[in-house]
Amino acid sequence: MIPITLISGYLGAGKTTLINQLLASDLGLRLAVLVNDFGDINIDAARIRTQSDDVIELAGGCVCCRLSGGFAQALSDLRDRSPAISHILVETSGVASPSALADLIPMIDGVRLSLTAVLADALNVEHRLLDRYVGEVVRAQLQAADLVILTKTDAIPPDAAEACLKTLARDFPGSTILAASFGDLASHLLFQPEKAAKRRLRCEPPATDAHDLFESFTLSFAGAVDIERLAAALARPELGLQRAKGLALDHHLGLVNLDVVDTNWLITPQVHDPEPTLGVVVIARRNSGAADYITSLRDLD
Amino acid sequence: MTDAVIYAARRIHTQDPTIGATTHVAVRDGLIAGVGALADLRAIAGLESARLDERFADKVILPGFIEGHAHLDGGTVWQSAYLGAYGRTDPDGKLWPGVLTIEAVVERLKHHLDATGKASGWGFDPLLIAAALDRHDLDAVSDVTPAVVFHASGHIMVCNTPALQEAGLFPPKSTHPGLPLDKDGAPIGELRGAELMGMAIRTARSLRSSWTMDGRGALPFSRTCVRVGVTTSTDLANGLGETGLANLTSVTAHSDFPLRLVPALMDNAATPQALIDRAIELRGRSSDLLRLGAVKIVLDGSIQGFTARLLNGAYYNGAPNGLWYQPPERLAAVYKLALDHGVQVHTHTNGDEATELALETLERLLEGRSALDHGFVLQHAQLIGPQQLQRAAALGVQVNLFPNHIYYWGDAHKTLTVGPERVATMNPCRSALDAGVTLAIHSDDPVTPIAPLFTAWCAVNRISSKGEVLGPDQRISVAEALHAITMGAARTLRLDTEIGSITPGKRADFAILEQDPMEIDPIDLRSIPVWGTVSSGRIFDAALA
Ligand SMILES: [Zn+2]
Repeated sequence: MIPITLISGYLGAGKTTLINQLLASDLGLRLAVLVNDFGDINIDAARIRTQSDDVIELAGGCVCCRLSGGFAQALSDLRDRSPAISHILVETSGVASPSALADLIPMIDGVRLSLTAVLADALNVEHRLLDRYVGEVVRAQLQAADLVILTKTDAIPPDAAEACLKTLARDFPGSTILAASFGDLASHLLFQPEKAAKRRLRCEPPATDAHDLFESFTLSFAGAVDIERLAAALARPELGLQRAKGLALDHHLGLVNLDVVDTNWLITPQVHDPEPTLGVVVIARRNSGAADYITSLRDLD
Repeated sequence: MTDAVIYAARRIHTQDPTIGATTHVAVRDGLIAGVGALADLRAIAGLESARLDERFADKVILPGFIEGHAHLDGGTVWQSAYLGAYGRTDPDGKLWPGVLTIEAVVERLKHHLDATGKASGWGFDPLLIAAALDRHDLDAVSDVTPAVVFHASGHIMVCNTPALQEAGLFPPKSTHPGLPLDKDGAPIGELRGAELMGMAIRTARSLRSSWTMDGRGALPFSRTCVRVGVTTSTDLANGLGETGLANLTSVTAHSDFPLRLVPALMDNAATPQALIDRAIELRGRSSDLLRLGAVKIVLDGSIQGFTARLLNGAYYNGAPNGLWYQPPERLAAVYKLALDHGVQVHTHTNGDEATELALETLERLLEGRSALDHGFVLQHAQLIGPQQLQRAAALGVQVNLFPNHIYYWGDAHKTLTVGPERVATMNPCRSALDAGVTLAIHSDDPVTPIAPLFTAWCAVNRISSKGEVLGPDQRISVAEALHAITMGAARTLRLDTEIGSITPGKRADFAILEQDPMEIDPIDLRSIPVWGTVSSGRIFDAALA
């Protein structure tokens, strides 16, 4: 019976990054990865042996397949491959519940469900759970998890990451919650899923992750600004801002530190600095339109 | 320049408010060269000695009807046996009476098996037959070769024992919520939901020669269009891969192809950027009869399938809220790129929560933009509310509503899906027009049959198949309904400068009718015989289609 790991999680939780890491690492396994689309999959061209619309075969026996003809069909095709596949990883769609696929696996010969892993973005999973449109989707995903993996924990303060872990562990008691680096994760998911589910790891995801997904730029101001207005503007939830941090001169408060995380902000007075460098570094999701919007904020001064 | 022809008609309803109703139209090089009384046309330079053609002298001419939401699958689906409860005409013009008993279903499938060697059927509606179809019924069709039947909803398929065996579901290896069992623990034959149906997909495909959205479906579909007066139809949506596109390009280039086809690119691209890039590339590959460049994105499911997203969170019968088919982030990314590059987006929303998400997303993106010529269309939007329609109007969003639902599923919507109060405001054509929103109405063929005069009848009368008027306040006039299937639909395709009215300079696309829709009792609108069409000046007789 070929073991299957379902990798679920809302858009941007890091599923594709994880799959890219798995495909890049040479684990000596004949791994099959099922994805919705090849779009963001990166495979070193030198490793590709054959490639069709739906299947990419890699040197060493790994394959990457597109879920075009349906899940059941893809699994039975993989099951019948020669040489035999040793493990199947399935990336589920961002708005799907993994339970629909988990229900189907026992119906199919020669495969078994090993683990349902759900990735959660430490930056905004709590925010997403309250989202009026997708809150229940994210909740259903987390409820279906054997293992919740908190990603992007390096993007928030350590105590915030720890608090997020605790909240998820409280709200989703049926699953193990851990924060892990993607590299470690790969081997735990593949070799010892049952063990991985019982360990608590705490490492930082690799920096490349953040670089692929985010862009950063600096907002600088010639004179004093209305810091409250600026903070509120940066914290607008629809902006999808990751982080903003820097020093600014407020009309009333004088020199202040601004720290924006997701939709929350903190303004603290800066102790006297004879030569302050005014400017706010902003990290936002790439192509989110945040850059254009934030650039327009220069008019606030 | 070729010679012009002047057609005389009993009446021409131009749908051009500056012209109104008249009697003659001149056609040259596939375009309308003039419209008015014969004497007025003769006064136009070049038309003084144009040939007068009186073949339509006793007919009524309207602009060619425009189907703003249909699928080419409406042509290919006829490879399977039609098992619906209502009579339906196939592309050859043959009327298949509705099947109203399980015995009749089995009988028709047997005939289909004898004729084609394959047993598959579509359109079976247990709500209307009030009987269940199971494995044993289909074993009576054949107990040696696979037989499958799709429910009208598309969410359930029924298999006979050989088909279940071929799919590895007989005996089942495990229980599954979508696989109901009989008292002996054997599957009754129904596979519910896309995942489980996927187990039998290879079997189902083998029973139809082509399930792909390739060019071949366009031929039977276009013949049906001639019969119902349609000269332009969408295919919403199409993957538009190179092979499929080559097929469509060659089919539509044929001199006797009677239809202008407007396929929208299906959003199955890897990224929003890839989707929009492809749409822009396709835009440059259009021809008169093949118009490319729009995209379609699907936000939720269907109301009768209980998969549409509702604002109040649950269905009338207690079924839980439906499903999102796209994350809001992807919708926003597609919208933003589309706005930046002038790409038109058709958004499938059925439930009012999906409509809300689409409007809210667009409100955010349009903030600070003054141009509202994006042409975005909400497709179906069946539960759109009055306040949402006001916002749609303010945003320049158009709606293509689905009044056929009132007839086909109105009774089920009243008792099961949305309840008696909501059904009265479902597909609110009246409110849409009152809000000043551009309105089109559609069939979603093959979900319901393409026939714009029937769709207009639904919008005008709002009568369910049981004969009940559902939501009289949302009825519109015949004139308004005719506008929706001509100019309204043309606007939703951004083709209103070329088609949609009988105006000099526009394409010579006409629907040729045997009766005047403005003269008859509105209850008879659906019964008006269609003689045929004129498409870019070429005449197509429905009797020969
Ligand atoms: Zn449709």
